[in-house]
Amino acid sequence: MSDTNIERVVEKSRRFLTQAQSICHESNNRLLLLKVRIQEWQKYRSKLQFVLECISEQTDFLTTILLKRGIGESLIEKEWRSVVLVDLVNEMEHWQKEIQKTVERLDNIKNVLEQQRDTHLGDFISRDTPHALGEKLTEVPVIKKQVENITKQYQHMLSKVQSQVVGTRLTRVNQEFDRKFSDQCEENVKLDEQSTAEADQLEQELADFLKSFTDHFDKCGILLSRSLAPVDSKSLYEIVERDDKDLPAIDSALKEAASDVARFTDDGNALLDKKEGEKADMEAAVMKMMNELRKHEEYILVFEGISKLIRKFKISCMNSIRQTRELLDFYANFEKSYYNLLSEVERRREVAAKMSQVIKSCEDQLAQLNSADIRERQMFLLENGDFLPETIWPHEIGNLSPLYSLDSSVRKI
Amino acid sequence: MDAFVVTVVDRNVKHGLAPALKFGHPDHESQALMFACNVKYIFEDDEESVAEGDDGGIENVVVIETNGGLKVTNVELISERFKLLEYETAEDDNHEVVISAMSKFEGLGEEFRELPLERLVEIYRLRNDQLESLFNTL
Amino acid sequence: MNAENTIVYVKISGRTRDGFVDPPKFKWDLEKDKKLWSKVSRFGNQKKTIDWVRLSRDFETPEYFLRKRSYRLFAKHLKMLEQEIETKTRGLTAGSEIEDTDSANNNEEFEDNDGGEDDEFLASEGLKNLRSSKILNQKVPGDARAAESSLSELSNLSVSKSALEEALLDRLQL
Repeated sequence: MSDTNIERVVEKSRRFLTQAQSICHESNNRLLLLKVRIQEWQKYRSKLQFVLECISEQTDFLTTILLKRGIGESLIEKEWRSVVLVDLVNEMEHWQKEIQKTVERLDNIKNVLEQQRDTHLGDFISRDTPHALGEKLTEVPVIKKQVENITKQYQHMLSKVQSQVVGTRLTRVNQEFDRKFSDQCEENVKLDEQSTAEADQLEQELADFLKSFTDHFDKCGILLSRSLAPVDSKSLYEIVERDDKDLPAIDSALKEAASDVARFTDDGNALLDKKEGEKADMEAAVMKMMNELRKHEEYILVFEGISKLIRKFKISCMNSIRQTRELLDFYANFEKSYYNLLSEVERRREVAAKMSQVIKSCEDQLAQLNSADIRERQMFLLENGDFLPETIWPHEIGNLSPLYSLDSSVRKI
Repeated sequence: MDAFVVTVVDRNVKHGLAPALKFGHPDHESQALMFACNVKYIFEDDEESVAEGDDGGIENVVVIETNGGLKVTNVELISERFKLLEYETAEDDNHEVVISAMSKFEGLGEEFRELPLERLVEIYRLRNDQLESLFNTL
Repeated sequence: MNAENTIVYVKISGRTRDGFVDPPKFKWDLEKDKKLWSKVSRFGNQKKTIDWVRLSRDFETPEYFLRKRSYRLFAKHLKMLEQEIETKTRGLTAGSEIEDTDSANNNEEFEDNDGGEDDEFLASEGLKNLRSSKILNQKVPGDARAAESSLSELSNLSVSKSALEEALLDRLQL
């Protein structure tokens, strides 16, 4: 156990340790990088799965909520087919009939006040407003056709979404995900479980090798420090000398392990490269799916547009109904007022007759007064005429014309 | 060293459906606001096993990385239900982290199913936008 | 997400723990947040100071969190006030324009409101026409005016419809 021998083993142990440290460092780095890549790959798959689940839900929203409920049930079945095309049309027809009946009745009521021409009450009313509802009703078949047309488009769209978007595209993307990106995919199982476990195992192996070299180096250090009792020092030297002989074998085992790491990480990286290469196709498919969902935003806008148009039609119909009802009230009042007018005419005739009677009686009384007056004047002239000069009351003294004149008439009614 | 305050805002459109709460609370996003108040710190000299918590019911893990100056350098959200869209620290406080996340889309509640078509289309459109944001974080 | 189902790890590079103790896990939710705001927002008008220790005890929440959360709530509240003032100031200067635009929009905008003032106005206008011009004039044979308005309405509708139909066919190339 000479100093030279000790220095030799120490030097040799340092050399091997340094070399081992370098090899382990490089191998550990390789393993670490691989593990980080595997983790990134797991995160990517998890997010991709999340996106796909959201897409599935969004597709369900499109088919169930937007198309089936929002358009199919609420808009087409309820609002258009029931509220507009049945209830509203029925109401319009009802009021249309009412106004027609009223107009017809007015047409049949002869205006007895007009003698020269044969006129009826219907001639005095405007013909456009009563027709407003009729015009609207003539538009109903157009709307109906439109609804049928849009219903067909809706059914087409729904079946297309169900068969192509959901049935084919989404299923295909999900299948592709299951095949290549899911936790059940064999390659992913290999990366997630086997590779990770193997990487941990290789790391441990490397650590064990490094520990052997470090322990040996530490023992050499203790020998070199001469801090042990001679007996202990001797037995330690024997151990160190035995280990020293094993160093090349351990070193080659470490190198073998390092090659295993290199092979393992190369394999792992190659598999990850392959898997990452599959991302592009998957992302393109997901993107297409999203574009498909986007496209339906525009399609649904068309339904929204037609919905607005039909709502506009509905409101204008309701306005016409209200106008018609007001008109019906008005015509009822018109008819009533006409009959009131006839009574009024009668009343006026009676007044005129009374007036004629008054005038006649007045004429009779005036005539009586006048003839009495003439008699009185003649008597006066007989008694006094011979004594009165004519110029004392010029033009009047011998005038026998009546004192009154009456010019009256009563209008014929 | 100040402790961190971590809030998470769920950007899911579902939070915009219910009428806004009128309780005079200044945080208008409060319906979608969540507070992560179980914060563990990992320093350089901590044992690695410190990350292994004893909490059994953990569904979401947030990892905030900071540099020596305690500036947030990266945030990760590991969760089945939520995915990270973006994060920011408050302008006036490095230790306040606001995470914008997105919860998984789910079916609309029965009360929202009778919304007018225009509103349903709006929700659909917003969700498409959100899908796109989510896809861009892949 | 809450303290029970969510854990946050803050990894601090380049620093040692140096005696730092992790704050305890605590429960904080919107209910507490609202309560906190209702408590701290009241202090604005009083000359009292906030007793954070007591609040911390009441809320079973660390003081640092309450302080930061309160600060954030005040900051947001202030921002909201600023925005409100800005909107109101803008509203004052552009008030008349807005009113004009509004009324223009009202005419164009389509609303499902069959009892609306506009409709009412139109209906009474229609009746006035009937009373003043039509009922007092006898029907003139061959008067084309009667059908004019509804025809033009129909043709407008038809134009819109065919345009929509075209749009539909164009866009629904499924």
